[in-house]
Amino acid sequence: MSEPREGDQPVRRTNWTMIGLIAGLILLAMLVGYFARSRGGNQDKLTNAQVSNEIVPAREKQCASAATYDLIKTELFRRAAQLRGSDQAAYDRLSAYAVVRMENPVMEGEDSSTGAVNCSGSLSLDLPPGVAAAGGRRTLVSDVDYTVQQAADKTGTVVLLRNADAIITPLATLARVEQPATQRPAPVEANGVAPETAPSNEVQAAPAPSQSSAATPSFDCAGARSRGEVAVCADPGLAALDRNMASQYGRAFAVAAPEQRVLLRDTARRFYAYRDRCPDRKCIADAYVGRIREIHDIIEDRWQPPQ
Amino acid sequence: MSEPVLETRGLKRSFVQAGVTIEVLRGVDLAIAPGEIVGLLGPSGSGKSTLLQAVGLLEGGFSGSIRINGQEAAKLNGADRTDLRRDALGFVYQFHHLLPDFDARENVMLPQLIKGRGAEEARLRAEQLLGLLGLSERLEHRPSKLSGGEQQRVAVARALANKPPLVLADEPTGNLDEHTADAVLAQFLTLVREEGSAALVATHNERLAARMDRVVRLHEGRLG
Repeated sequence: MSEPREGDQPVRRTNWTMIGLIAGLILLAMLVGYFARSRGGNQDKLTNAQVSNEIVPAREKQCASAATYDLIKTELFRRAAQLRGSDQAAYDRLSAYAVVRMENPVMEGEDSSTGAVNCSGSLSLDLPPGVAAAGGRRTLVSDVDYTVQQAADKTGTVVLLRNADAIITPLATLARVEQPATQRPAPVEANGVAPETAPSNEVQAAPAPSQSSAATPSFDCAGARSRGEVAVCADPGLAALDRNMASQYGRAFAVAAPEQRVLLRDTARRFYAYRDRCPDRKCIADAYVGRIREIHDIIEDRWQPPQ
Repeated sequence: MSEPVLETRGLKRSFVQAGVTIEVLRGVDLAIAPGEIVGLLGPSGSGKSTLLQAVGLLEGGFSGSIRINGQEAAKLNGADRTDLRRDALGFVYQFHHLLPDFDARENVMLPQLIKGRGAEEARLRAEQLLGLLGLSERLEHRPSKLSGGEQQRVAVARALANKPPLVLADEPTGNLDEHTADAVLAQFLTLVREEGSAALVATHNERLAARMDRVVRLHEGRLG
């Protein structure tokens, strides 16, 4: 077999299109490699600092959440009943109608190993109408420390409460008080919310706490039309909540600045509309508790529009 | 001889700090007869407060026996311990721990109302005790408006309001100047005797302890 001669070789032509395509692919591969190395495999994940910054606000919110306040309220009534040594069932019932407010809730720290969040704040407990603590007090206050953490059996959140004796001790003396004479106070607002007459401060001799049997809300039940009004007029517990709310509203309105009064009226309309759409008793009770909290938030300039 | 109002046997308590176990109480045996006032002496850190916490049923983590009014504390559940603490014990602390939003009379009424006594009866009892302690003119003063000695006397009245068989006092005059401490302690001892209660009074002051019926000393976790 003979060697091919030089003159027999085919003529090679430069294919610039192919060269450009290959160069482009190489450049693309280099760019991908560069960014892969420079940003690492976790470039879509938050850094530890970013994660920390994201978690902290969520944990801070635990100090000031409605769920935490409800747990605190339950714990206050449980420990008061335990101290009293009787009436646990009555205390459980009353707990549902009491309102807890926390001023200046602050996250003091956290235990990263358990996820527990330590908080502090100024706690106020508003008792429902018809009962009072020693000396006729219906609002009990104390600076408290509390820890929010997962239950040991992982069934939910628990709150450990400290320094609350200034509330628990008088709460253990809870007794019925004389109800004011039934009267219809003049409405002070277009929404029909009127201040409640202050109850008598006379504490009866060593009674067990109990609820009033008569359903007497702040408005005249003879004129009840909406579903919410009818439900409140048929339920002494809801009626007590209505009187409590009306009382809080009246007191708040009396001291409110003009812009706060506007807010009180506007939010009242929304509250009544919501209450009247409630399908059951629990929804109505929750709405009243939320409304009482909302009134306090407005008067203390902490109110934020619902999202 | 009547049954002791307080009896401890082999009472032990230890703490673990930084991996080191510290035995604070190493088997304390103590008996206090009804109406007897016993001084508990010991230097700071000797475990006096720990012993009072134990017999006051304020903390767990102890081993050994504590009998109060004939009831074995270890056999009681949480609610029964609370009942026993409420009905059988009165407490006076170095700091008064009065409720700031309640006046002197109300602070003394509170434990009575919790126990179920009527408001009028509780008021009369509070006024009687505060009167015996020289505070008749201070009934409606809140703690912040009372002197340190007056605050501590209100705390004494509160501790005795329910006529407890046993009063536990932890350095009850430790926060007062010497002159006031003498006066408050004298009134405390007089009132405890008049009420027929027994008392266990922790102090590191030998002079004050000498005014009690008997003195026991806590040393290295045991009573001497």
